[in-house]
Amino acid sequence: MKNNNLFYQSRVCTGCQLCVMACSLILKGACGENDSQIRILAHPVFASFQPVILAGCMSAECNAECTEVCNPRVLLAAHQELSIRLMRDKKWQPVMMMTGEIK
Amino acid sequence: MTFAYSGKAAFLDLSSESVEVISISDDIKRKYVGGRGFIAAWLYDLMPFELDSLDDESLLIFANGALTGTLAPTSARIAVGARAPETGIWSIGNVGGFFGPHLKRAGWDALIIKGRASQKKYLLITDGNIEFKTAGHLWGMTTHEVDRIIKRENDDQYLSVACIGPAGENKTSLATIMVDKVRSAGRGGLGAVMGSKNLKAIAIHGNAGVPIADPRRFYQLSLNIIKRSAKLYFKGRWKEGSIGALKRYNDVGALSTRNAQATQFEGIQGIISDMFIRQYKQPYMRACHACSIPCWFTFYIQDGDFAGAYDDNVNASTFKELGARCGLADMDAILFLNSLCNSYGLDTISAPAAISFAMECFQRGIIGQKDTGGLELNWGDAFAMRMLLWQMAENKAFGGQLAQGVRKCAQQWGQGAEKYALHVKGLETTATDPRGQPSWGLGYATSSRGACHMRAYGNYEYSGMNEQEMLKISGTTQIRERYSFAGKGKAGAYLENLRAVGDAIGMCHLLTRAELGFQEILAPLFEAASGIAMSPEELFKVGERVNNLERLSNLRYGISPQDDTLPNRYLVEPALSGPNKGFVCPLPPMLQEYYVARDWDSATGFPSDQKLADLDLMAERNNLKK
Repeated sequence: MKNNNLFYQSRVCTGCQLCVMACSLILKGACGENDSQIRILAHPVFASFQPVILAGCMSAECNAECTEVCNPRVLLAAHQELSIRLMRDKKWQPVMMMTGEIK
Repeated sequence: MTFAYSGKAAFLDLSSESVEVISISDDIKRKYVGGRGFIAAWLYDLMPFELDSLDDESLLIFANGALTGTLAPTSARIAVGARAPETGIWSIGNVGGFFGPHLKRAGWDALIIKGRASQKKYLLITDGNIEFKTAGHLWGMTTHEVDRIIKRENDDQYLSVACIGPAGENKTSLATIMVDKVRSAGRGGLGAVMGSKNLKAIAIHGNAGVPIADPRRFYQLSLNIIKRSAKLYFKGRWKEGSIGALKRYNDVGALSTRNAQATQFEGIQGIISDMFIRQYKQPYMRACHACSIPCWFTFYIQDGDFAGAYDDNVNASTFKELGARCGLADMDAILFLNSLCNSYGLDTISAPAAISFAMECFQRGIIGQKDTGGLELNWGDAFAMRMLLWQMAENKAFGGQLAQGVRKCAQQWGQGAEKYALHVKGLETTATDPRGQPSWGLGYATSSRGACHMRAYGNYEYSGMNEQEMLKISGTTQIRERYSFAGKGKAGAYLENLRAVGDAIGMCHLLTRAELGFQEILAPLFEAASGIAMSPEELFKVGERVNNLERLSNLRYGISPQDDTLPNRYLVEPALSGPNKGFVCPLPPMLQEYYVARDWDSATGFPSDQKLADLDLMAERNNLKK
């Protein structure tokens, strides 16, 4: 992941957690949120979801498998040049990193 | 180390508030895989057949599929089973959402619940701990309220809650168990079984990862299915969820209207997907755990009598059952009544079915206002429907009678009411009419829990399968001809086995319905996750074994081949309009072929000894003879 940045489309994420499962499976050999470096923020009432990464994502040894399993194709790993273009594209938002530890 | 499974089940006795840990052996994993398979095996082994559904000692079982809670696409399903009060036979259904994955992460493959709590209770399960918590303050509350309050009082918004509403508390036969507020399991009154145990809810938060035996292989196999599912189903689901099917049912004359007096609904324009998407659908979709083909809509009613209502999870059934079947073409009212069913914990198939049955009996003068407590039961009367749903949930007044299910009502009312009671083995049919979709008629007739449309769930009559797949399941491509019957008996038996495999693995029927549900796809996936070597043939045999064990249990409960039939209306009253005008459901030849394919005796209904020996079920057969 180190040279890539994750982007997502906010109104399309369904909260299915396939990205979370893929990440934990590839990094830890198990399926579960606690083993994953990507998480999903969910609105407590309305259907609105947003992926976020933990700090470990930046040093993870992976091939951005989280983006491969995303069926609506709303999660994307972009190299530096594409990232700069996507930052100007209203459709795409950069996936933010949590600033504190998650227990 | 155990892979894919957590390796243990909790045997909970509510009477003594004790928990016994049962380890899940490799033998039972091989023989039944999980989910529906485990429940069938445990109900058979652990619950005496003499026990009434609502007896204190009867069992209510939740069992995860083998792959539930993993990356396997749509692996959200948890099976729920018990002896159903409405039918008197086993009912094993399953449900998505996030409840099953949480249970597995909390360290349990299954919960086997018996006994009756001395006070109202709910279970709180967090990472291996199981607490019996007081639920007196939750009694009487709707499912939505219970979900909210349990999360708040435990200060944990990540809990996944399965609970009953007033319908289950009042032990009505149409009560289901609601999961994550809007997903429902347990047709035939499993909500009443939970209520009879004084158990209001089960709330779970699990955190542990599910270890996978061969992560790389499992990833590749899952990814392959995800990509194929995207090509096959994603576009349609994303646009219309499962609502798009409604128009198709109507076009081909398979939409039971006004209790199946007609097979096409004149009000269809008011309830089709275009209208829903334009006026009600919110821009976002939700998915169950690991679902690559989401069908979970959210909606908002902007104005009118029900303005402000926001809820989610509508599908074609919502509009079929509460709409066409009851002659109601007002989408606002349908959405509101659907939410009401979910809040009360009522079955959104059987409750509308009971209402439409009452409406027809009212139309024909079998019952009158003196019987209904003054209510006029006219077709499409949303007010009357609202009142009946409330009475059903409270088990009071006329609705309380209806909540026993249509079979019992018809027996009590007499005067020919049986003719209008649309059920098989006591469980109400759905509003997909077998005169327009004959394969579903066979499915209703042979389903092991009564008229369940998901047991066989054939989609070959509407281009859901390619030629190769049709040949595989039936040996002929003729099955695609809607109004013919050749090959459909064989296909029905094959698909029932395949669905049982999906139910045991814990994946959704909407994904496993055709090419992605075959044993050649699922066996390697199961093997990579669990580390248990299993050939496609062995896996298919698991599905066949589950169906045959359910059959043995039905025979033990007194079901005979005469019960493998359809309500007379579908068999003798021809459709009045549509491409199937003049047709009835050709059940007898399909059924005959089905029995041959199953190797079941058409006179006694018993599987042959050779079949049972082949499935390693001779001991179970011999026990029944005692």
